[in-house]
Amino acid sequence: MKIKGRDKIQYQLFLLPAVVLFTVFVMVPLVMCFVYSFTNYTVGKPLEFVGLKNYIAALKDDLVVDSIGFTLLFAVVTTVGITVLALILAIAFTKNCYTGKLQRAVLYFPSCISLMVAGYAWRNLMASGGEGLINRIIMLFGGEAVGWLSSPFWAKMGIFIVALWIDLGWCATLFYAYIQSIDESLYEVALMEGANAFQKAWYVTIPLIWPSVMINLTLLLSQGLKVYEIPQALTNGGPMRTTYTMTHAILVRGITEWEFGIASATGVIIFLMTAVLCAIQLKLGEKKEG
Amino acid sequence: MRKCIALILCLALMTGIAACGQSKQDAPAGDGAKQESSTGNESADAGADTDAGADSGELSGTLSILGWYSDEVAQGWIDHFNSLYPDVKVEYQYAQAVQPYMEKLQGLIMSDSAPDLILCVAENRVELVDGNMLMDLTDEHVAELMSESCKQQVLFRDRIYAVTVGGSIGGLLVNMDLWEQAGLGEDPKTWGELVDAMHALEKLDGVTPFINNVTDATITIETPLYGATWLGTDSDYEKKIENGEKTYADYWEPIFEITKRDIYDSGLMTEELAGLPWDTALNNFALGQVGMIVGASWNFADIEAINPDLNYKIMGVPNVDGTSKYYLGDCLEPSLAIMESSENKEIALAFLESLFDEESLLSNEEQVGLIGCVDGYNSIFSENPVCADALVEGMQAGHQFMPQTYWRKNVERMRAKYVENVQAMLLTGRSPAECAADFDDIYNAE
Repeated sequence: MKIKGRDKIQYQLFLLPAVVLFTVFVMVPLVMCFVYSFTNYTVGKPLEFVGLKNYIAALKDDLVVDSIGFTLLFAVVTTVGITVLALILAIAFTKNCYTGKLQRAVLYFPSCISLMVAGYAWRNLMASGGEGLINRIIMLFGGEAVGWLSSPFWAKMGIFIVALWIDLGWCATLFYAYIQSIDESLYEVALMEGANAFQKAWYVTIPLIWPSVMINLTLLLSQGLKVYEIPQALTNGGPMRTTYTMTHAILVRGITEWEFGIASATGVIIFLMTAVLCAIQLKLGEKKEG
Repeated sequence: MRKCIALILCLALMTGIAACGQSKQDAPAGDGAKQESSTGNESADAGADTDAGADSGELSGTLSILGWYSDEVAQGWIDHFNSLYPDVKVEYQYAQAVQPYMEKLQGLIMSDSAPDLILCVAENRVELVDGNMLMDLTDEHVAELMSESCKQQVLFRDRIYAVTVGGSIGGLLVNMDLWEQAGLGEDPKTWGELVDAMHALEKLDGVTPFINNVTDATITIETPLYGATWLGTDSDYEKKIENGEKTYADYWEPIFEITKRDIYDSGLMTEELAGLPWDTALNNFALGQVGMIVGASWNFADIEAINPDLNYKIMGVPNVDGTSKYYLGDCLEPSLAIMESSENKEIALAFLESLFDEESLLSNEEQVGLIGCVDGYNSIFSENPVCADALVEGMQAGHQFMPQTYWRKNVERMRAKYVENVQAMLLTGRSPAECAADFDDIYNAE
């Protein structure tokens, strides 16, 4: 259908409020952040151009470097982990079961909770020794209590587990909805060809829901790179600064220490990293689709 | 046609941006934020938005305050102030401590709509003073009203920028029933006696002898030990560091060595205890399962809510040779400072002076337990057996220490490194020398 010139204007005028809001609240701050990253911008001092000084300071800053490392690890582990487990779960959801709806509702429920609230709740569950419920269960089965909040390794694991718990049900529900739209006859053909359950999933289900997997991967990756609430509530960046995330580092340097130049430079670095990672991911996804 | 659309888009964009910038100029200072949260006193003349009058008895106008105290606390101050100055309208804005407060304050300062009174605390003091944003109160009458203990803690580069009327007292919260069960008598007079007492508590069945809070620089056993070791004999230590005569490592390394050897390596404080959320530790103390923890008067309400019958008290931390004893906490409440940009300085000064009146002090103590430390004022906490000794020996004597108030540069980085290194000594056995040297690296960084 060809849209006439006058209609085009009408359609574009409808876009106007969104364009204005997006420009004012997203594009302008983004550009300002980029500009400030080359200045000594802070409260009560004249603005001066400092070149790449903030970028050098940010990349030499242990907090920023460590937080980049942990954030990348978090983004990769949660993106891959949630996607794989959600696919398995979604396929399991398709099996007829009396409690299917209840299972989906229960698994979807964590995504309705505030991330901070979830973090604080899990912090108590993960308390050390016999104080936390999880350690009590481990000890009940003869295991040794785990230092969820005091060991750098287990603190990271604890954060991954909470992130999985929150997003798994949501992603599984999304995949389940896509699986519902797959023509049943394709599975019948696969069955006639002698495909087992894994082969049906690999050759029929996953290729047909691949667009939703790609969307999911992109959302999880960008969400993972911006993570803040869960580690903040669960470990507050500890122990020994091992679970600081990039967003947390920006807040500390910018808001707490008033070093907006370094915080802006860190923000730009994160923006570039996110853009590159998402581009790579989309490219890989296109290849798979092709 | 394309040009037409582009023009419309540009105009709309410019209008949007202009509207954002315009809103501040149109509204009087503080009005915009008042919509978010306020405890504005409506009894005052709503139309009076002029500068302060010349005579203090005839003050009129609007005073804006940004604080992190609850509306109830602020209302106590405002009610008293308005009983003295009924023609002044006070607009109080609340922001949660600490990070959201800093965020809001920065936003207000950057948009030229800073309130008249703000909180000047360890987290923002250096930036505010270096940016010449605070009024110097050193020679004002209100500074004379402060007790020596309060003055000592708000003094910054020999000047006073903020006013305090008291604060909190802390130290070792000791379960006195367990103390007696362990056969312990008087308060320990030396660090060695304190460690022995912890080991005596360790022998009680099912009792955790001591829990150090390794997640907060203000509430660790290292800080009062530092105060007792150095401040009694070498109170000018920060100046010596500034002059290059001494380093932070000179002062902190011996403290870290003592605590690492006696508390961490001896097994009194374990990795398992470090993994307890602090509210759980406090809960266990209140239930009588812990001999002593570090804590302060802000924990009283929680402890009494859990176990009103708990027999406990605050003890100070003595130094190694027993010549000095120090407590935790500070005399930094409310640390209100007047913005240099304020057009209502006279009203602001009158407000600060009103905080020293008995009505305000009493309101602080009853509402939130902020202990008054003003010469001639008899605190209701002086009758409280939990903290009566601590008030005399710690707060009134000025024997309280919070490192952030003494650090002169990169305070937040120092605080974060402090927490990280206390954890590292416990969890990885990092050496005290390395931990102490980090302070100098941060201090000497640009």
